[in-house]
Amino acid sequence: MNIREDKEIINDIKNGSLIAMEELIKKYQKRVYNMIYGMCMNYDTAWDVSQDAFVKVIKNIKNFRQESSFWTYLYRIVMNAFYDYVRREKAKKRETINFSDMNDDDNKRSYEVKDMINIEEDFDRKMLEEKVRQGLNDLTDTQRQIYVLKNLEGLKIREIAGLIGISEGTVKSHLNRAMEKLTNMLKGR
Amino acid sequence: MKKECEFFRDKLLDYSIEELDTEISQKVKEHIEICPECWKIVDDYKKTNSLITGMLKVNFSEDVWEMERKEIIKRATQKIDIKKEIIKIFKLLFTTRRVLTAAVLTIFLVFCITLGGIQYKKNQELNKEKIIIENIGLLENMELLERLDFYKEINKKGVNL
Repeated sequence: MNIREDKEIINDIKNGSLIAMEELIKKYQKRVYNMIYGMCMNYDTAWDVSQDAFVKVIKNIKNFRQESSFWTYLYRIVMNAFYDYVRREKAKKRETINFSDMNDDDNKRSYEVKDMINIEEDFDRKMLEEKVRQGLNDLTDTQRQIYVLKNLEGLKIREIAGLIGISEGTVKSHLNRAMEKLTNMLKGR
Repeated sequence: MKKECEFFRDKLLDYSIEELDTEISQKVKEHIEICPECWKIVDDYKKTNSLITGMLKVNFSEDVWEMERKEIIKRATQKIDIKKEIIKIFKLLFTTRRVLTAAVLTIFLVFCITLGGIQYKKNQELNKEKIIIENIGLLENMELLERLDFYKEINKKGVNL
């Protein structure tokens, strides 16, 4: 199938095409989901936040003037949706957030997203996953965000700096700290 | 630590995430081939990254992704329910901005009480006026009845006026 440019798809959405909507979501949904999952390590949170972000993007697509790339625009909305979600949850619980304990809005979903994942739940993997989750939880939000952008998205430090609006030096320093923390954690230090 | 290692140590992370210039990258590569200590550091970084990155890539079946797409489109295209939106705003106010909410509610409460007080005073005055009007009416009626009785009495007695 011929992959269309974002511009064309967005123009079709502006004209009310549902097929174009599906096309755009399909193109970015895995990236968005994985990005949020990397930030919280919670299947349900990633599911809800990615949905909220896409709904927001589609509803406001008329305001997208195509001055930046669509991914940059989408990424900012996704991160805003994520931090909004975290703030709401923090306010609800009035305590430090722990994504592994996080429950979702009861009125939104009648199923558990984690039930849909297809992985072999052996003991070693679970232990390792728990360790990684703990390690990622120990990072600051910015460190986690940069780590995910670097390693999951494969962006260069220069690109990350441009995307989140901080200097390359700061990105590098956050990345160094994140890497050191995670490596030490996995080595069991 | 060897002097040579000292020079390379702070470049190992950048090397492992491919952020070095080709020239320096080549030098680091040559160094780690002969230095087991530095090689171990690079190896740890690479292993950590590959392990975590592998775990962060969620692999749903295509049906699940399709389900998500349908849900998004359904939510994005449904018409706004004003009642639901108001409830949502209130919920949001109560959960995210407690101080602000308290301030807004206090102002709203004071406004309501003042408005209620003014209305109550107005009602009381109106009631007073109503009672006075009713009493005047009553007095007028009594006067009429008395006159009527007076004429009836006279009529009975057969007095010609």
